[in-house]
Amino acid sequence: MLLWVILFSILGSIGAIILAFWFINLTKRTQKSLVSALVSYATGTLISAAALGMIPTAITKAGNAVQLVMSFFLGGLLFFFILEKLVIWRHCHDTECVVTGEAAGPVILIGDAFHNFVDGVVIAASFLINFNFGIAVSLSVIAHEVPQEIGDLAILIDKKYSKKKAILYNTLSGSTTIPAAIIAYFVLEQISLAIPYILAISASSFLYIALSDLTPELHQKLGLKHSLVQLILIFAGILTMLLIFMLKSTL
Amino acid sequence: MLIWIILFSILGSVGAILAASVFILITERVQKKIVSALLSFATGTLLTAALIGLIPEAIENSGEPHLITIIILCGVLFFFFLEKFLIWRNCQNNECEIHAHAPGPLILIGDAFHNFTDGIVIAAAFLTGNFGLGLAAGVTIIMHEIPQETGDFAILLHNGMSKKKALLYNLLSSSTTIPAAIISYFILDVFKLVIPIFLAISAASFLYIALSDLTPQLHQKTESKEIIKQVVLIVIGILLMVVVLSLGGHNH
Repeated sequence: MLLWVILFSILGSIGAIILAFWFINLTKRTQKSLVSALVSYATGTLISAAALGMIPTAITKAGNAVQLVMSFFLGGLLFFFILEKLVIWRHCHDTECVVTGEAAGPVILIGDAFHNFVDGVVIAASFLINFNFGIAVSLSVIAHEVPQEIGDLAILIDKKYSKKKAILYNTLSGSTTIPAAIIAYFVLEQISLAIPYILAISASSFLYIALSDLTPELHQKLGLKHSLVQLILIFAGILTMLLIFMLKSTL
Repeated sequence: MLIWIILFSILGSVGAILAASVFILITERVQKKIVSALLSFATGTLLTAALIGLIPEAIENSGEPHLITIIILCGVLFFFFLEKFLIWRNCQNNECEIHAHAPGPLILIGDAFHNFTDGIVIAAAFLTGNFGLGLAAGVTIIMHEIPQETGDFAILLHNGMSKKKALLYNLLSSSTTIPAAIISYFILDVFKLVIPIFLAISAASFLYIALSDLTPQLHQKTESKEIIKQVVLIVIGILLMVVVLSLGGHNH
């Protein structure tokens, strides 16, 4: 199982950055439509991984202590709210600032390192539940990391980092997923009592990203055609998760 | 019980409109301050009412965590597409570009629909027999309706409606909460089995409003003073809900 944890933490960090780099080299138009497709798909996978996988599993594993699990979930949401607030605040000193455009390079990288650390813990906790669960959650991590890293790379290049430097720094900051996953694997294997609560916090991170970060992006595109494309891709994300959850665990 | 349901459905509709109309009358500076404070506070109450109140009650009541979370997922999707097609609804202040052009009738129809849902939420929460939960749902609805109605008011006035007309139309459209609450009280009282489903849908609506509508608005403010204010108000909202929810009165 540890091998799978390591494999997917590599795919979810360095793999996502390589994919992102490939996207960056496409024409602006293709890149934009691919990114917005990925954002819709990621929204579907994140919400369903949290609602269909992590939350019910956390509740069952915690012996139906629903309120306790949900308290961790609420605490997680508050934590991610404050975290996002601080990242925005650190590079935004005037009120008019458009968040991504003004972000300074180092802050992007620190934010990325921290975010990917959380991803690593999430991947490890999920594989400790079972194999399918791990695959489903890792796929959601990859699906939202690719557009995220594309955005980060674009900002770094915009900030006059060379392409080589941008990808190097981004790979370094993004690779926190891997040690985080390995450490979390060994720690959580020892104290498996903590797994439901770690899952609840992971679920809150997924729901926070899907609803507070991605949904407003999706709502910027109006019109029937865009709405239909978003609808189809969100459902594709949900179906992917459902299929993985329903397949019998092979390991 | 019915008395409480009617009381909170009046407070959450007509009461919220009256509070909003007072806000519209005071100076813009004060109005903005109060509205933004209410947004933070409402975020805390919505999240807590959903996560610590509605969802645990729905799961314990039905004994089906998987079913409940599937319904929450469907609810979130439903609200996503509802908002998509009624996009002008998610603006709480009058500076919003998309929403400034929203025509009056659409605002009012959206409001009527939204408040109808509020009525169902209030009835379902009180009918669980958990008085604290009913109170929590009622207070939460009032808290998020006030900034919502202030925004609607501002848009109607911006569209050239007179203050009197705006108040009258807004009162009419939002009073759907009251019949919705009364009707669902009698229906849900008979079909008690479906209460957890309604609680789950309500939780989805609360989560969606707090995370997708209110949070991005809160993130528009970036001064450290504002950040501290927001966090403090969210935490106060959470604590208030925890206290209200612990009033309990569980009878199952």
